[in-house]
Amino acid sequence: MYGWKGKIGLLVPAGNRVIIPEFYRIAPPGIAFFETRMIVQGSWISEDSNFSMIGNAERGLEELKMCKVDVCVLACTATSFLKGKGWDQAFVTEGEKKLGVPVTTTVLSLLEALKVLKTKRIAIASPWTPDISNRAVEYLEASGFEVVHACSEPIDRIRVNDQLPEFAYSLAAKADVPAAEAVCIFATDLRSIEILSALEKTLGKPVVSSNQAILFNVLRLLKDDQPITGFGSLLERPRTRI
Amino acid sequence: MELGERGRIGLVLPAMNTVAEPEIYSILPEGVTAHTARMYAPVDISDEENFVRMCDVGCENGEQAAKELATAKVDVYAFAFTAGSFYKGAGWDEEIARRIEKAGGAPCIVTATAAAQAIKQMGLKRIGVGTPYAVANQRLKGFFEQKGIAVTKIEGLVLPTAVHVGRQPIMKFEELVRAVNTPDAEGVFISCTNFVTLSKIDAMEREIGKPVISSNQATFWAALRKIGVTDKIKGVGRLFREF
Repeated sequence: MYGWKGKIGLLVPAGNRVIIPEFYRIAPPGIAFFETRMIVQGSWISEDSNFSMIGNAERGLEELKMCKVDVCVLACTATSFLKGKGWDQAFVTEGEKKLGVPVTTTVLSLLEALKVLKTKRIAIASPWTPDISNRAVEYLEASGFEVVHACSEPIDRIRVNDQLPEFAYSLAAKADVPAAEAVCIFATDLRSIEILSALEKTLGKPVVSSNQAILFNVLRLLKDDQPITGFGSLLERPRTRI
Repeated sequence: MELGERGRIGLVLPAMNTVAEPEIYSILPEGVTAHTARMYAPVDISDEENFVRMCDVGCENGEQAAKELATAKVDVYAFAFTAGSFYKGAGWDEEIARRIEKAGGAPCIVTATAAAQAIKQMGLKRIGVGTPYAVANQRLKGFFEQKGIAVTKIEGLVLPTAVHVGRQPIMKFEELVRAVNTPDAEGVFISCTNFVTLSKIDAMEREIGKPVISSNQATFWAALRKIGVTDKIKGVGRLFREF
């Protein structure tokens, strides 16, 4: 049986074609991933656009429930930032009521990752417009972090996954400043898993990506401590004994 | 390197399927990616009425799934739903392909068509057929006969729901292959994309000395060949090694 150690359900924006290949490439044995897609209206991130997508989340949760997943993730980053702190916790509570298993979001996973890395001052890099990047800053500062530098290079939704990993590499390198204790790279549809280790060596500090943070958090929720090496220091850490 | 620069497969899957995604990622060659959209469908397959309802509802949601995958820019759709593609007989499989192609704007291969094509391309005229189903075996037998393939024996595991199918251990596949391998069969086909098969196809071919074809194997094979990926993949049967 596949997923004997854990079955992970992913609610993804319909166009996403990065998270599943990244996860199947680096996941430890016994972990299986199942995805369901939510159609999104509009080619730029906005409240209207992202919440047209969230309208399809209920059906997605029903489908993943049929798969009897052990944990479920809302695998979109910007959506959590748009509504401000509290929205994603409410989404999680509703989802857990429906599924009866832990539910999380990309941003809640990111907060877990930053907690483990014991970082308070961070730099962020995203393929978003400055407006959306500012929403991320507001959310993170309301969560007790200091965003020392935010760097964004806007790309419309449909072309984010066309970017090669070097795009994320140079964007994150640009985002980094000496005061930052860690650098975060946002968007689950932005390729970056291949360059995280190299980037950490260059910058001399932890780098966290949306997908890497999700994987860390779902494995933590599954109490899985199998090490994953070569894709950033976060995944090399123990997850259940912190 | 681009992700999926050799091609991207869009899996159109019944919602409860927990086998096709890990199985395809266990064999995908470098440079090819697979992406899934789910078709909601009820899971009861214990009697004729419920079985047909699962197929009807699943198929109705196929176009929506294709539209979702279209935004991920996939190169081919794999309608990976065996029952949903054979239950109305030969011709329906092609109709489903047409509907998905129209909704998604890219070519579509369908499991039942792919299975028949694989069996024929391997030169097999008579096959034994194993399934996890309780009631649909005569429909599947009829489908193969309409496609010009004789069925020497057909046997089902009589599972009550499609969720149970996805929970079967690989030993059930081995038992089914043995059970339907009649002396006059030239090969064996094991049905259902939610039934684990891939890791033991080679071993069972060696054991019975005949080709073994499964739903997922035929689906992935047809999808890869459709996008021009002709790699001879080892470890998943003669079909992938030679065709």
